[in-house]
Amino acid sequence: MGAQEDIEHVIVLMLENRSFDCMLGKLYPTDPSFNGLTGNERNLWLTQPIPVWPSSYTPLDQTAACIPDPDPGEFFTDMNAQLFNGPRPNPYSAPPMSGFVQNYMDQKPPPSDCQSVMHYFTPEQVPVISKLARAFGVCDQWHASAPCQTWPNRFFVHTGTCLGYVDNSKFPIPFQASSIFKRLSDCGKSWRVYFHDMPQSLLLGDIWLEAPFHYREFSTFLSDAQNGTLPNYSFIEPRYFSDLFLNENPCDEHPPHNVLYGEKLIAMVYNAVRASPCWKKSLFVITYDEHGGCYDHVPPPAAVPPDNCNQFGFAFDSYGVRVPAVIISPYMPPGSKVRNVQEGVPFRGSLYPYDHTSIISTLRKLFNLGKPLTGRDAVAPDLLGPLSLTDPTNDGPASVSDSAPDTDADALVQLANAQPNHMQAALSQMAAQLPPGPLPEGAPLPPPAALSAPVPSTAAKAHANAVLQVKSFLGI
Amino acid sequence: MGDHMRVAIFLALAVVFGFSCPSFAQQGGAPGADAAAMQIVSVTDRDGNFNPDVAIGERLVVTLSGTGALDPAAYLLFIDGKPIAGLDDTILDSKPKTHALVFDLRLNNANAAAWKAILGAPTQLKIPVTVALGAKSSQTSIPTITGDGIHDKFNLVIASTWRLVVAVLFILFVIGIVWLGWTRTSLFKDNLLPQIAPSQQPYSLGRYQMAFWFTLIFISFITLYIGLLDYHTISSQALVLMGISAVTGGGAIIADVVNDTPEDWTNRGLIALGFKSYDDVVRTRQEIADRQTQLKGNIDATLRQKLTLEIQDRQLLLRTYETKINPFVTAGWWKDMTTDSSGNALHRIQVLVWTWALGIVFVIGVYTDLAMPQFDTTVLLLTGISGGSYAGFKFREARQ
Repeated sequence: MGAQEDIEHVIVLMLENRSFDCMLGKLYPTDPSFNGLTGNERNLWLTQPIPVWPSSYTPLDQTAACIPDPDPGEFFTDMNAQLFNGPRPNPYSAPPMSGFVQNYMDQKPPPSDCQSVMHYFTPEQVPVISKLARAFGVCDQWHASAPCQTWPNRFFVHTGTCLGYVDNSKFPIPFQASSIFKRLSDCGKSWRVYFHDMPQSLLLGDIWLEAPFHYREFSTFLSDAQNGTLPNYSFIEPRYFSDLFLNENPCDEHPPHNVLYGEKLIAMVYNAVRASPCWKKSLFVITYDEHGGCYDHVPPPAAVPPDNCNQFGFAFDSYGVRVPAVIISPYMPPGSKVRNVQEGVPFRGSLYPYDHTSIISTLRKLFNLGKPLTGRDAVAPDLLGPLSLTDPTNDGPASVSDSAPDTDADALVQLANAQPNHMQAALSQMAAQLPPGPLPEGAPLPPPAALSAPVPSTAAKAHANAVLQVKSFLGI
Repeated sequence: MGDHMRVAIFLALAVVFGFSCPSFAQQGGAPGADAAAMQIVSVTDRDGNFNPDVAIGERLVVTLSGTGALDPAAYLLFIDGKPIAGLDDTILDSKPKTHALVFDLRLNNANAAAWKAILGAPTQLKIPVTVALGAKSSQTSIPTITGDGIHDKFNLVIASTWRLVVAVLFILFVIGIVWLGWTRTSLFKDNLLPQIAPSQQPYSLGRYQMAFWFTLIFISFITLYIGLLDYHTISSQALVLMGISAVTGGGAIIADVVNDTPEDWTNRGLIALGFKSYDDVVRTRQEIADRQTQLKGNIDATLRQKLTLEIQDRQLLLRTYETKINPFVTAGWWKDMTTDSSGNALHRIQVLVWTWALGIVFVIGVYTDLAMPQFDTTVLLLTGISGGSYAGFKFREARQ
């Protein structure tokens, strides 16, 4: 017996735009085997050294919990500037990770505080993810799949590729690659996407016909967990928008959204899974889609291109910046540091770090889903190895408590009236291209088309449009 | 006992009483002096009409037999055997030659009980009554001067036609105002979301209760005034009832104001979408209609695309608006009154039923006693507890 035989429920919660160092860099500050922050890391802005730093507020106040504010750059060009403090070299070589501050200050309009992107949270400031990382396993070798924006990286977790598009707004919709969801359906495995407002995964064209049967609002996840009816694979999408109508803050942790609401979501999911009859047969992964411009000190290694697609000369032959990944299961030994290569992943070689396609490789192996989706997930390490306990004996904390503040109506209104961020704008545009209702069985998919709908002037309008069209498409 | 027998006994007692009161018997012009001989010759109105219709507030002329001077201050008017005290200032011997007393019929504290006994629980607008007189100094309140049973009568008008018409019109006007306010405006509705059309606003139990008691007490006040010409009819208990309903309604409003409720969230959400009030909804609909009209014309492709996108944008906003206000529009009067966000609410039903029960008692009291009921402290306390528990639940309801 063991994880491979016993795990029946995989739950993935993917948050937004935080680097590993930003969230977990000081998780084990005195452990030399942990690849975290020493405190000496720095970037230059002009000639001034800007070191990594934590805010002094514990618990976090509203301002500190939203650092960096404003949102750092996250286009492909921004990310290369952050890694190389200049153009991306060809061929790709190890980046010095030296341009975060400079790129931040190059944004228009320039931010007032150049230190923001070098900020990190201490374990006491983000107690939920830190407690779970220590109680189970933390992966300090998990990279975003590409140095790109949200959509490319979220497509990687679902399909093992992004078909060569580096920025959100360039994708033709519906997205054409084969997804792990479809593979699960074809193999008779159950899956559901639990979402709050706007599931980005709904862009996947190969699940449009069956999407209404698999997409549920997040509250259903809690009841499914309670009833012990979780599917084989649950993918949870956070709330990307502030929702004035529900008086809810975004909980995706996308800067400058308050990370404590993401902590709250993590706690809700963990507590639900931990109390579920499914717990002993569960694997719960918390990760982030990309670093979002927040500093991390580990150079992304070279990667296997998923396919032959490329854009701007980029063949997706390198990973993105490290992102947090916490692996939770009763089969995970407490305090684990999950790594594919204990001594460190070589910058270029036949051993690879974990990335988002590790979720695909884990699902393939766990549920016998057949051959890889792409060249990337073919080499991605899976998570079954680190689940090394013979029996599911690590029950971890019975529950975790978050310290999210009550909703601040004024802050919520401010967010709602702000211009939508890149992710929100793209989601709103994307929603406009969804079919107006559930597609009948056998209906042909509409041909992929570039996003063309105008971007609403405020996040509130973007949210309203997106939610309306998603619900209309899903028939809920 | 028949009326004749009662009169006979009264007369007998009066005779005995007269003989037993020397001071009264010795006074010239006093009713006791020749009471046995005096008789009511006629009862008329101020214009001399026999068997007249006279209402409170009008004058009644009682003519006695004999020719001697009368002492108006010595006589007490009896109507249907009930002494109408407190008319001292109104009794005139204004027509000495005809030997008549003129009574200006008034209601006051001294005679309110007598009037209410005569007028209470009316089944018609005027009541035939019999007039008699007695000695004011008498301790027995027994009439000593009567008529012949024919010329001593008049019709006591509960409400004269003109007063009735004016009062009914006034009452109808008030009811109409309340009704219009109730059905056409949001005056008696919660109004927590100004983006909802007035006709779709949910009914407010607190405001309903306030309107109920206001209307009931106001109509009772007018009714009593036209009958009794007395504006001192609002009892302290009625005021307490109005106060309780006001406090209950006010408490409910405060609960809505101080708590950050889903209605507040929706309000903020709709404002962020550009809908500050229902006028903005109407304006947006009009903008769509205007653009649709423009699209029917001969316009270039660029403008056509622009208008189409603007229409789509506004239609999406309106669809969101419709979706978001849907939980908050009226579900009909009964449901609005008796349910909250968690379904049927006992505290609401309790307030409603108790309000109706007291209302019925109130109406019956006004009709039978010609006065607003004097609820005892226990009843008022119970009403206060009922309203208080509603307001308390409302605070909790608003937090859910």
